Amino acid sequence: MSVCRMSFCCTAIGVPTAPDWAAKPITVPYANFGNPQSLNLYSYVVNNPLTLLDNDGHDINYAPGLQNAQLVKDTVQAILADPHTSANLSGYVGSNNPDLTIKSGDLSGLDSSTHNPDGTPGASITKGGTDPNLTTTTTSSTDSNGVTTTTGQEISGSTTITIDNRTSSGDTPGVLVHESVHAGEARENPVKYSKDAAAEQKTNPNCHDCKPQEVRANAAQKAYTNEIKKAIKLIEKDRKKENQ
Amino acid sequence: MSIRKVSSTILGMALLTLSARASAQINEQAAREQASSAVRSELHSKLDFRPDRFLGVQRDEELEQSLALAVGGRAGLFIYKISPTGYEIGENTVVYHAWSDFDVVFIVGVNPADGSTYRIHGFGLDRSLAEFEKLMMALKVRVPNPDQAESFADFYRKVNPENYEAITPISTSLELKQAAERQCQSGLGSFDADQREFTAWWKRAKPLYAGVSFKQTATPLSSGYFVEWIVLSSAAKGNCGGAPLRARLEVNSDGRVGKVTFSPFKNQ
Repeated sequence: MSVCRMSFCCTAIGVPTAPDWAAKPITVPYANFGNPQSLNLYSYVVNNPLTLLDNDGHDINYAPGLQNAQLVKDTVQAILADPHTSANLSGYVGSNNPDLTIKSGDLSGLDSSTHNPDGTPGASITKGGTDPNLTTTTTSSTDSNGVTTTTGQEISGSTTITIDNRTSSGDTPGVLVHESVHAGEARENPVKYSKDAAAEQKTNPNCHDCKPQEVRANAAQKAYTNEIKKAIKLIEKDRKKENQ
Repeated sequence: MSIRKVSSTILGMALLTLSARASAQINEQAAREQASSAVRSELHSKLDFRPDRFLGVQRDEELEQSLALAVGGRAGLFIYKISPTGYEIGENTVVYHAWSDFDVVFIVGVNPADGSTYRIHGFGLDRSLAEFEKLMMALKVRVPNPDQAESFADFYRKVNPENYEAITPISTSLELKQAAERQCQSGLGSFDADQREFTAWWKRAKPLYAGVSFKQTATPLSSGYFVEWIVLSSAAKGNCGGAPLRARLEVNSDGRVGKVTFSPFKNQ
């Protein structure tokens, strides 16, 4: 029997193929030095799978009514497990980090009309979007000489990824790879991300894909969607074996 | 019923109508709230937008002026651009709200005389166009000359009810070159690869469009005018710069507009 219910790729024998991940890059994520087993990145819930479960992808929320919900969850698992994409979502994982909610929605109002070089009409369909609602709070202390020192910075709030209701299951992984780049950049530095978004909107008012934030998200989508899709297949295969 | 009763009933009805009219009149603040509420409701129904979320509302006097030029006089309409993105200014804070992949800007017109609301951009292509037409009919727009027809087309482009990605007129070959280069650079190749593709595109396009007039024109029709201008199409495979197209908007003399149509530029 396979006991691999971990949040991301496992092989058929129940050993995770990717190390557990942390919100911030540290030497051994989620390590407890009093428990040597926790140092093993490839173990599942500190080798006690019958009493602990880690099947919720830590803190990523899936809204009620989410279409292709299982596929979305599998995609998130694959993104988190992939070394090229993991950092985009790992900052939303863990109790000290802001939440990420993935939901379905009607983005048809945001569609735009295009025209092809021969004059025939086309359309640009909005398949997904990211709405970072994050706040950066800086804590500081003032010493007896009146000198104020920044002691820390905390990012709170939440980010929402909306997948349009019309997005096919075939397109869903690519859309999530794209949106996770936005979510990751916003999580990394909300203030900079917002300022860049404002500046880029001003510079490229009529060219969505010309904006550097979009160029980066599109490049990641192009580069990594196929490997994410392959990982999803492995996850699905593993789940089928588990259910047998 | 006695004549006295009939006349008092008529007087009462007239007073009621007058008071109804008076109550329908709204001030700028109420118009702003009405416009904001229209957008909030749209966002809530489609994206489960929470009531406490930021919504930036800015009155667009430039657009109001553009409407005045289009209708040939004061239209008396408040026009608002409303977006869940933008700066939220607090007592000691400034927060910029950004939404990625959502270039969400709504345009709403409110007539303070009767409180009617027109959702002219951002509410879906067909719905926004229908509301744009409704507005023009309500304003009883007349387009008596080519200058006003061009102003009308200018207002239409600024509102852009059908949300065309490229509807901005290209008026010189330099603008064509710059627009095409930008489009080529939004491809997914490297800067150098995209630049090579653009250079090849421009080598083909330059002789085709050299000496061609990109001027906007307004031509009379039996029932109004059609206004034509040049835009750049979207890219196609092996054609990163796309092609210049002739955009045509029919403006009836009563202000009704047709859909914009696009056809290849003659010299292509």
